[in-house]
Amino acid sequence: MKKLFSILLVVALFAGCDKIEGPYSEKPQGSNDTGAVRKVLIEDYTGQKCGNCPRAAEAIDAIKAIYGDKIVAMGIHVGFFADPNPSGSATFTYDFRTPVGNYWDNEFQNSGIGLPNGMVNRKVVNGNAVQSYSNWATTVAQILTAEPDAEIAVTNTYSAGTRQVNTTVDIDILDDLPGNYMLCVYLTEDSIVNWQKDYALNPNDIDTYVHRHVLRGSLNGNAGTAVGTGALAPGNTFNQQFSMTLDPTWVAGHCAVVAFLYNTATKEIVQVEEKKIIQ
Amino acid sequence: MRESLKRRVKNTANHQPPTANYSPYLQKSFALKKTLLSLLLLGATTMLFAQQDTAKKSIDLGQIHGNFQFDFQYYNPDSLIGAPVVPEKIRSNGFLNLFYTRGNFTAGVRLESYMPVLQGFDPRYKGIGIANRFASYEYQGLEITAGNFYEQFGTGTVLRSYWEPNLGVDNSFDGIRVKFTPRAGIYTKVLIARQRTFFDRSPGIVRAADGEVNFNELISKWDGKKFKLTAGVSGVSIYQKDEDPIYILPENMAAFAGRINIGYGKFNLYSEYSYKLNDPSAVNGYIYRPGQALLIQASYSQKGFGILMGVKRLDNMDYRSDRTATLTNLTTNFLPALTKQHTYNLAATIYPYGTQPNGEMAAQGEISYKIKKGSKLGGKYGTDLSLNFSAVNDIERTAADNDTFGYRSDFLAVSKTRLFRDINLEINHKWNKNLKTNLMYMYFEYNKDIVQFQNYNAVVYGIVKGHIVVLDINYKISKKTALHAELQNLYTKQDFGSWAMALVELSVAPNWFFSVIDQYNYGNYDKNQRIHYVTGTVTYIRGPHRIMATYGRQRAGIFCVGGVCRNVPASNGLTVSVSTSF
Repeated sequence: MKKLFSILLVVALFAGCDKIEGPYSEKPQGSNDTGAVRKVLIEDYTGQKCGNCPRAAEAIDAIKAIYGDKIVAMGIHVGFFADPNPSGSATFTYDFRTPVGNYWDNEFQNSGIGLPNGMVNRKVVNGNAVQSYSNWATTVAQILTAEPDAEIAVTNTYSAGTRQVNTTVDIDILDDLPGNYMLCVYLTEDSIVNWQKDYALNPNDIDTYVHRHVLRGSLNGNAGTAVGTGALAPGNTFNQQFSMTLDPTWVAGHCAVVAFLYNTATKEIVQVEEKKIIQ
Repeated sequence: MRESLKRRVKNTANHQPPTANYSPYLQKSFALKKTLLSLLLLGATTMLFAQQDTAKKSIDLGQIHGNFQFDFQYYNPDSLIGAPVVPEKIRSNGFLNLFYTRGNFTAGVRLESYMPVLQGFDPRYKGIGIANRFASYEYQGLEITAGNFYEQFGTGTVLRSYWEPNLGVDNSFDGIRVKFTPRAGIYTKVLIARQRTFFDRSPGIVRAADGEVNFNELISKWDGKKFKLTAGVSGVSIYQKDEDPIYILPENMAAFAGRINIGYGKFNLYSEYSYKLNDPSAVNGYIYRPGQALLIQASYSQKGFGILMGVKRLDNMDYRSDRTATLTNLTTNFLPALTKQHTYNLAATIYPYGTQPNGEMAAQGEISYKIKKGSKLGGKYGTDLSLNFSAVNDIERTAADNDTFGYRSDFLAVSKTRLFRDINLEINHKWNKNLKTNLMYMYFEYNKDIVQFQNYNAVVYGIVKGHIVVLDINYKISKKTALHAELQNLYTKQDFGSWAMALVELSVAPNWFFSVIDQYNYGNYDKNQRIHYVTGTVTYIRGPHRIMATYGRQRAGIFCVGGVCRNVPASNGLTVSVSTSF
């Protein structure tokens, strides 16, 4: 009996292991789609004083290297690790937090869960929409296997004199979408150079860190505006206009409008589009 | 270990075969299931009987046991300590465990409620629901369990699940487990399960087996011998699909362990070695290097004297049923710290050491000695002395040929990077029948950058060094009343500076306990942060029921595991806890 058990144990368990000898990386996939494509929004919940958060930003770079423009990213500074030092301090005095970022943090409890983390189209994976950055690529790959359910076109006109951006969002529904839907139109600014803590570096505190695609604010409130009433069907089209005046400290050439359509009950994002305000 | 020992006794000695008329009763009990369930939910707590019409005698329908805990907190914002505004003002955690046993059959269910979860807990504990349910049956050496269960192989270096509601940890297995004892002295377990994660299950499936032989039970000649030998082997394999478009990940991650316990009279030697094959994960930074753990513990004890020594090496041994999980979520194994688990407030809460699963080498020694009663130092009742020492350093790492392999590390090489040091002496003396004191001195070194933040690359806080002195006094005022006081001081010039703590607790048996604690950060370099964290507690106990109300301030804290950091905000308010068991 003892012998039999030992043999069974050894056989069962050695069979239960895969040894990867290399290569360790998959081959990058080419992107040659034409027409409407499904795009994915990665919301990276982060903080300037979160020393592990640059790893999440790097994960986005790696995903973008595979999927290119199909990936729209947004860096959202929230919670304790985004709380700036008092003005006059030598470091970390800039406040990246926004009311709209805090609104979604309150909804999904990202900062309470622990940073970094994020959401990929707010898709629920293992019971929760909030995921570790190391799972983002897997979720992106799953989402991108499906055909797009909607197409979003964003058109911006920007006046340098008034610093006002006017945005038109056109939505074409391509598939049956049960439930109710909202459109969020947010503004992001890319390549903001400011302090960031990074535990991979010595010293940790980096004054020249490049903060990518940082959420700056909303053109249509925290939760967005309704799209249609009730379920949406193929052939439905919607056109909505918005505007926003840029803060004088923001670099207009680095700003983009991110528009996404989401189900109000599940909060899952159906489609997203990003367009720079100055082409 | 203790649980499995109990189980063995049950298997071998206390096992009663079912009586001939068992089945009809069982059927009847199933027919009564609905009624029972209603009663369960109403909180019926005692043995249930029903009358059998024909025989006119009472029939045992089984027993219901359980326990209940409900904690709620009312939050006040407090800008001085950084306690935030809590929009709900009141938050609560609660659970009810119910167990039904009848003969060899056991079933249980746990309801958990988070409305919303208390601050500091993972907010993914959300809402109310059945978090645990199981049924198990045991007969003639075979025990089967379906549903949620807790299991541990050896010390847990390859597999251990546990529930700690006050820490928000529950990684129970949800699946099937079979335990089989073919004959006395041979114990086998096989399980296949997913693990609990909040109100969901892990993406990975855990397949595991364990075999243990107790030679003193197996070989009849060895029964009662001074020499005792137990040996066990375990193996675990976790399956998680690889859909990652960037890495080629192993889908089956295996780990094996072997353990041996040798006893000879008052000596005991325990050793466990485990090996984990490539398991790239969020916690180890997606390296393909295998993991290893070795634990050796030796002890000798006789009346009035005991000595314990242990050494441990851990290298890349974090093991989870989701390679992307962090913090305390979905851990499949458990790596205990080889350091003293302090209970005195300042020693336990300001700089507590936590095992570093990615790598550490540790040694611990403890000597306890009782100075005889009647001697000059021992006095009328004797004096207990306990000296404990522990040291933990990082493992040495050198660059690997391939980044993805992680690093190379000589098994016996100790890195110069200190993670933790602790040397402490306790002197426990009973002065007379009413007065007892315990005096503790402790020196510690704590690598805050690595232990708290896993920040291996820069020295921000450095190694915090300090001294702690504790005087603990227990004085029996009368037959019913007793006074317990503690005075503690943590002295350090680093980090937040020195702390003092005072506790006074009055117990009026058998129902009432009153206590006040003041934790005072008198040495903070920022004079505005020299704050008193005062809490007052009133506890009422009647039989198994306990109602506790605490009002005061709690400090903020940060903890990081596996590349994720969570801030536990400070709080100020009233906490009420109600618990009971039946």
